[in-house]
Amino acid sequence: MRRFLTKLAITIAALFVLAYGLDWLITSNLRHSDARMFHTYNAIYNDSLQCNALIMGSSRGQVQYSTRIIDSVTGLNSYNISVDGRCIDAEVTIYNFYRRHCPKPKVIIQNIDWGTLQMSNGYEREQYLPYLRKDNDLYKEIKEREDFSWADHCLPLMRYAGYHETIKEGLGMKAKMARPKNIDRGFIPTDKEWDGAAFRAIHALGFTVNDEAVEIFDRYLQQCKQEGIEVVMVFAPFYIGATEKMGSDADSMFAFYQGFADKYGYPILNYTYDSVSYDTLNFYNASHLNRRGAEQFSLKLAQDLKNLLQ
Amino acid sequence: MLFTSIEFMVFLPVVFALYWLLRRQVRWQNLLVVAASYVFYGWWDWRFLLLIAFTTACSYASGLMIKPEGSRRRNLTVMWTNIGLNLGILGLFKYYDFFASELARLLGCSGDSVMLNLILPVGISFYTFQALSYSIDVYRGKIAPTKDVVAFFAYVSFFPQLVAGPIERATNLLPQFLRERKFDYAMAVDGVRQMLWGFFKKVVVADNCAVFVDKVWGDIGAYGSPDLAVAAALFSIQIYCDFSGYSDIAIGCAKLFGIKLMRNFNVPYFSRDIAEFWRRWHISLTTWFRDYIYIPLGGSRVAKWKVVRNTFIIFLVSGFWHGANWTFLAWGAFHACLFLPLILMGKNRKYTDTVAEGRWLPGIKELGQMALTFVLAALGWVLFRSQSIGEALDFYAAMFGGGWHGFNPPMRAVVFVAAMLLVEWLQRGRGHGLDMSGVRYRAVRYACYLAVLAVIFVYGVFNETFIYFQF
Repeated sequence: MRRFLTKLAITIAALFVLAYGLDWLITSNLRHSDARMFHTYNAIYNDSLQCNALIMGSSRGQVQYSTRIIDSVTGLNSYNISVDGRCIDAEVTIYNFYRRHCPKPKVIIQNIDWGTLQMSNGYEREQYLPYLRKDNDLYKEIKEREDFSWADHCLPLMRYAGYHETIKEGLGMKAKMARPKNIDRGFIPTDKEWDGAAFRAIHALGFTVNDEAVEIFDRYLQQCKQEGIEVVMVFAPFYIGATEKMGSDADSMFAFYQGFADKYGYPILNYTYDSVSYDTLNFYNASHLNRRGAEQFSLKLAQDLKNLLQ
Repeated sequence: MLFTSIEFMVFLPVVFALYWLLRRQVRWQNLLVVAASYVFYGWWDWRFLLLIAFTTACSYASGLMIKPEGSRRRNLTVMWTNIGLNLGILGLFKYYDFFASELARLLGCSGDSVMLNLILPVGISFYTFQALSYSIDVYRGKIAPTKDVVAFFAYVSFFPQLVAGPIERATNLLPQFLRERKFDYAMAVDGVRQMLWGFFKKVVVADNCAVFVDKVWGDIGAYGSPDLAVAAALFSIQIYCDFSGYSDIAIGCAKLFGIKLMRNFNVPYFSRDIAEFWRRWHISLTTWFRDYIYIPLGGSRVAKWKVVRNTFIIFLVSGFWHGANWTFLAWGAFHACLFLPLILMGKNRKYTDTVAEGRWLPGIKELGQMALTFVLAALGWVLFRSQSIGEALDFYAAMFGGGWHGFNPPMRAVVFVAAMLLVEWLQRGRGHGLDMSGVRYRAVRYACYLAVLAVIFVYGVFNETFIYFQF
């Protein structure tokens, strides 16, 4: 019995030491990874961004808002912290992370659309892993939503189990991850041309909301209001054919967000029916502008913002 | 509580430490086993603890009421009452909705109105059969009824094998709870190794296969014949590794407590015919059916038509044991059809040894036989995996008559399957894949453990439950 327990204790202790070492190595490397998934969190954590304007959204926020153009026209110093494939819950999580590491912004340009007020579905959950152990607030905020356990938060290495590409990345090997070369302060321009296949496959597009997501959105706007942060909500260009497929749901969506704008006294800029939305040359799919469209839209937005913020 | 959960990683060392602190105090150890097992089971849904306690109490009482010196008629009544009660509970939870809705459909009514939609208690088929075997064996005089109620509760609820077997017999397990257990170093070390191998099979092999299998079964029409064939083959491996992985963890875990459970799988995919396959697959259930149904019906030592009847009965019951669905019955019937020619020709016990014993490689004939047996088993698993007979027929039609387009096998899963099969082939004469009792060099042993742990850590899929929990 004693022999068994001694050997077991030595083995477990050795495994713990190994786990701590590997955890440190993987976490350190991931915090300097240039993979898209980790880029924004790393930028916030490592660079302690000194900006006075934040751009928030999902993938649509990421590929459509050119920080360089907006800054050049408005004189703001902006950073795009949008997260791919996510909804308002994850957008607010990264915003809270930002607030713990960086100074308060003056302005938030909040991209809103038909998918904003949903809950994220665990897509690219790995983005939280490098910060999950040290950041108690992050853990508390996402543990239920993203299904993390106390072991992920407290024990070394546990949270990486099963994420082989993330482990490879953390060990300095070449992992299969998207790493855009031309990230410009969080903006990721996309040089793709229109592909109508996905658009043709859409028969109808509706606007639905999740109650929990609406509550998160409401709390976030309330917090911004209390802290004196100006939030500008933006309906970015959306291919007009897709808006037509939304039918009356498009009007319901505008009205729904207008309710929040009225409640907190925040402005909404709507580019749904802007000329950019009518040309497929500006899009690579119905809901995402390519570089050409993003630059046109950003210029228009920047001019409107300049007038609005004066 | 799942074996693969973080809660179990805390639960097991705590129970292990308390258990051996109480050594030489058998009754207290048994009490701890009961308490720990009820915590383990109640972690899912504490309400079902009443059910398992009731099942256990009925079987315990029936054992005491069966008197060797009493009248046969009375003893028979007690045994059948216990069987009726236990199967009644099982039937209510597992089969009522199926029969009620099928009957309603036959009568032209809506099935929904008569269904109870009860939640199926985890592992109900396993512990019910284990409890039943006790009262039958007491009636048959194979085991003396126990008066030790704590030991009996420990026998029925022993947590490692409570929810997915092996389905133990009272003749093997109960005496172990009645005598003092001594800590056996070699047994405990082997238990940890077997658990490690079980985890590898479950979270690396089975769950990586599951990713592809679920995708294909989710949209059968989108895949060509080669992908469907690969999915059928991978499901065969998935269900084997899922279930035998659980059994390995259960058996290994029991060894830590000085308890020997029966072997549940013995490299079934290295079988040379279907009869051998069934001697190596889910051994605790097949022997249960053999001993308590097949042999009492006369087995194979009766007229030919009765052999046919008995074979069909045992395979259909076996299929139906898995769940209330026509697919399970069809799966049972499919295997009965494969088994029948062998038993009628007296060839069902042709292969009772281990394939290629004493050799590194099998012969060409053996390889062909194993491949054919695997293909037949895989064809049967399509029925097992499908939600309905219609879906299974769609799968067969697409697999045999579909196009040869888009062959995209999941290479990572295939590599893990190949590695698992290679290890099991090399270790086929031993208790489990990681049985390293013959390896002299400590460094080699530890390198193997570390390699397995590393693969589990990097490539494991940790959010899947065990397939057999639903049965």
